[in-house]
Amino acid sequence: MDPRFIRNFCIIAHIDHGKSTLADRLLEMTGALTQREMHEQVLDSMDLERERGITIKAKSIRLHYKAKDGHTYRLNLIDTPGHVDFSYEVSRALSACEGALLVVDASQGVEAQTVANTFLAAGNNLTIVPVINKIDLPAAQPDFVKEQIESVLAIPAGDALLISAKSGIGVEDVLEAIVKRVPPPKGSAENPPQALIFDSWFDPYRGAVVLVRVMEGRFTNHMKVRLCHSNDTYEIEQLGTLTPKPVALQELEAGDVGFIVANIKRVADARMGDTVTDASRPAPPLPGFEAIKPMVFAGLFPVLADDYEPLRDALGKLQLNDAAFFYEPENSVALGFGFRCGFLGLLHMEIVQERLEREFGINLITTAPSVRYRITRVGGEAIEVDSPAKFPTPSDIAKIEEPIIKAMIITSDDSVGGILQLCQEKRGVQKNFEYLSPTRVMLTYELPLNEIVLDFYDRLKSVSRGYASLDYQLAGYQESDLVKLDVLIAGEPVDALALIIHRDFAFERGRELVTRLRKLIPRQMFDVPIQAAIGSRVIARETVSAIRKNVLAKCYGGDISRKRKLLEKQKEGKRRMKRVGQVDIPQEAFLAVLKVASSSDDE
Amino acid sequence: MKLGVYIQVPFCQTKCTYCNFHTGVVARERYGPYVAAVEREIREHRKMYREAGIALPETFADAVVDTIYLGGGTPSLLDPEDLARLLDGVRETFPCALREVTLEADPETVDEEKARGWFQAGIDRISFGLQSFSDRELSAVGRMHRREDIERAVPLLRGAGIGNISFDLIAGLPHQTAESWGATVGEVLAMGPEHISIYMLEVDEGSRLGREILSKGGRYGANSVPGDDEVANFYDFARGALSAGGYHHYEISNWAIPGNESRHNLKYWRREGYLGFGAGAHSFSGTQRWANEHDAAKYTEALAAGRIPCEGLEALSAAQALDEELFLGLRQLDGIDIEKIERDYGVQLSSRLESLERNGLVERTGPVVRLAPARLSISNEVFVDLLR
Repeated sequence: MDPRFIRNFCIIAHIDHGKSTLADRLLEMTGALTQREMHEQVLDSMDLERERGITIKAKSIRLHYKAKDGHTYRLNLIDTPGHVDFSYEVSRALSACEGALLVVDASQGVEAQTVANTFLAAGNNLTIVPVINKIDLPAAQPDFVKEQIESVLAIPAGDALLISAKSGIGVEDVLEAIVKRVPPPKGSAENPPQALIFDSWFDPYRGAVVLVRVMEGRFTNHMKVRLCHSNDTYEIEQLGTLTPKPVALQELEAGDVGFIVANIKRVADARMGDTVTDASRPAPPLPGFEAIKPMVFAGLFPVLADDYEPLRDALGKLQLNDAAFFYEPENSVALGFGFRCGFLGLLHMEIVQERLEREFGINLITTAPSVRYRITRVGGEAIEVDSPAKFPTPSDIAKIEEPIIKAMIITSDDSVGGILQLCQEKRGVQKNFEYLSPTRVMLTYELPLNEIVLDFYDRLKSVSRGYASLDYQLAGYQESDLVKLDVLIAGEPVDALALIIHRDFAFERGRELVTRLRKLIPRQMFDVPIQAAIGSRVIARETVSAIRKNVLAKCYGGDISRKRKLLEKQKEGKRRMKRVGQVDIPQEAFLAVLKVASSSDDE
Repeated sequence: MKLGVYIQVPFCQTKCTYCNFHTGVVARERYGPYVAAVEREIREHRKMYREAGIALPETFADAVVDTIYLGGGTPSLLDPEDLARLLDGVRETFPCALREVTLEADPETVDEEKARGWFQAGIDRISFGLQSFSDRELSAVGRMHRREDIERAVPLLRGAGIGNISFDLIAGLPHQTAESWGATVGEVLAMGPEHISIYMLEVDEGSRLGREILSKGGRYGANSVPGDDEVANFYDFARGALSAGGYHHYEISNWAIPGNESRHNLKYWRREGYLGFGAGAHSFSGTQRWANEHDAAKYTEALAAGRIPCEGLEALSAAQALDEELFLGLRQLDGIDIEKIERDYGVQLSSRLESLERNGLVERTGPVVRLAPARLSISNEVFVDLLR
């Protein structure tokens, strides 16, 4: 098809501003799906995505639209993940497009993800078409939102489309605007082939299915192709497009979007942002490729040792479909055999955890999330450490650097005070403070990532009563005075309870942690000291005093079975705990570390 | 072989707040049919057992009954003639060489005539559910008797010829304090019963008081219950006082003037055979445990139809039997012969006992292992550790 009649576009929006509903409506109106087939929010196909109202994996769908100018256009709708954790994936999906529909809720206005995604889209030179959604809501303020789009995002919004995706108002105009305002793709089918990989998923029968945007040239069945960054060669077995049902094609040409099946075994082999070229006349790679690096790390341990093998299988299955997820075996003294896992961010971690528990039925203990530190040893050797367990002893450390993020928070002005205090408490440095409207404020902060991973998001939500939105991006490393806080139970360090924190917080958090643990660890046959220590220096101590009363009462009329059941129940209770040394520790104690950073929720 | 007989009378005048047992308050008219049912069960138990699939081992063929225990509930509510009927039933069904016939009684149910009647029926031991000498504590848990009832009842029994009296006490009642507990223990010693049992209050979902404590409510004095550590202190105080008063501490909860140790209750800890008759009564044949239907009305109905309503017939596995040897045997302060148990069951227990010994929970002298007296109040920790 002549590229003049192709439009590649995406929809960017803050969570719940109506991206999926609009996508559904576009599919319905272009006849991609009949009303009967219409399954609400087709793009968000994973259960979790639906429940949380977010898109985790991008998809692309080809639509056909007969415009008012009489021509039929091929519209490729490229879906993008909406969450900060997946910003690299977003940026790759954006670079497959020429235009973006910027959807903003008419009653909510610009939010943090709106800003972040708009900047990403503008950075990719996309034509941005503002769409103000939910204009039929009583609280809709379209004029005010237009003003906000102009003042905050510096995007002309005079011709912003006013729609209600839910009731279908103005959706036709959206289709017309895509045709009129989004430029057609550049590139020529005659040039050496170059295609950008912007998504992939695992199909048990065909291996990795790779979604590409063809930038130059033409790809045909049975063509030998090379992936520039992985430097592997494959033969194309099948080409096609999604409508959203997969449809096989003979070829994919410059300007087009489609899928390639080429016997690629794992999604990890077809990395996002990599370039597909003709193996016989390779073209240079497209710009913008980055190897995905996990930013947040945590140990995942099965509650029951018997679940170790099933957990390993489940992690393997998840990784088939999720190249950003990383894991390796980890052995904890306290928790036994498990896995050290790396995630793009907290949401990514939660999703993996939840899928393991829900889809694979495995009960997990997750250790406190950590980030990747750069440590210079006294001898000058530099190492990267993502787990407290691998931290060198204090005397061996010359310098520690930690990852810093640039965070953008948009909130209502009445919660600004609480948020400033929170950011302060989290070692944040304010970079900008800007009123978006008389009642909306945008804050920009530099914050250590390690302060974010524990409970920042929850506390932000609670301080702002759910109204603040957050987006962030990595902003380099910075030297910090960090220490490893060890927890010793009955004199034995419990690796799963160790924490990396700033020295200034060590004393207070150490005390909070041992206090919390004292309440969570049941009394045992002997006194159990609980200590928090930095190196060999104990900074806090509590004692769980020995149990005094655990005895059977009257044996009524020789009812021995009842006594036995009572003892068996106690035995079962102990089995559910983890035994470290001679001490039985309940699972909740391992979660205490996750909560210790929050001083506000103390009982 | 010696055999114990337990007879359950599940009737009470009121239900105490701490009671987690199957007892009920019913009209006196129900007593007669119930007694008839139990008597029938005693007399026809062999036939009924066969029909219920309970196989008594051969050793039961020539078993001689040497102890009978009339427990409850409050069996002293029955007329002495009814009690006599039940005891006659036992005497006429089993070969007997009775050494101990116990009746559980509440002090307020005792009068001179009853006491004489009990003695004439062959009852030679009374176990009083005394619980406390403090009227405040007694009324808080719904006991019907008061301190003066105890003081009145004991001489009546002795006057009627019953020379073996046991007191049950509960440590951990609402409003109990170190002072009131000290007073109760002192009064007990002054009255000089032959036998004393002390139980710590059991807090579980089975009783009204237990539920109230667990849900942190305030009814039944639930928020005036002494803490675990305090209750453990009460127990330890009693241990010292009773031993100084000449009592032999022979089982976790039981003390006796030497020679008055309860022969019947020892059968439970020594895993000797006993047959239980009546609603909810438990039996042990050495290899099987079973219990009767606990609902008195359903029990009576089944017996009227000539059938034993047995629930939960259970043949013990070797592992269960071993568990019992340990957690029942160790209740006796003389301890257990661990080498004999290891031989009998073909197991190695020494390594499991070593860490308990190291932590001071058990003591070992040659083959004999016993609970450390100072840690008796956490004996479950030992039992749970030894459980398979």
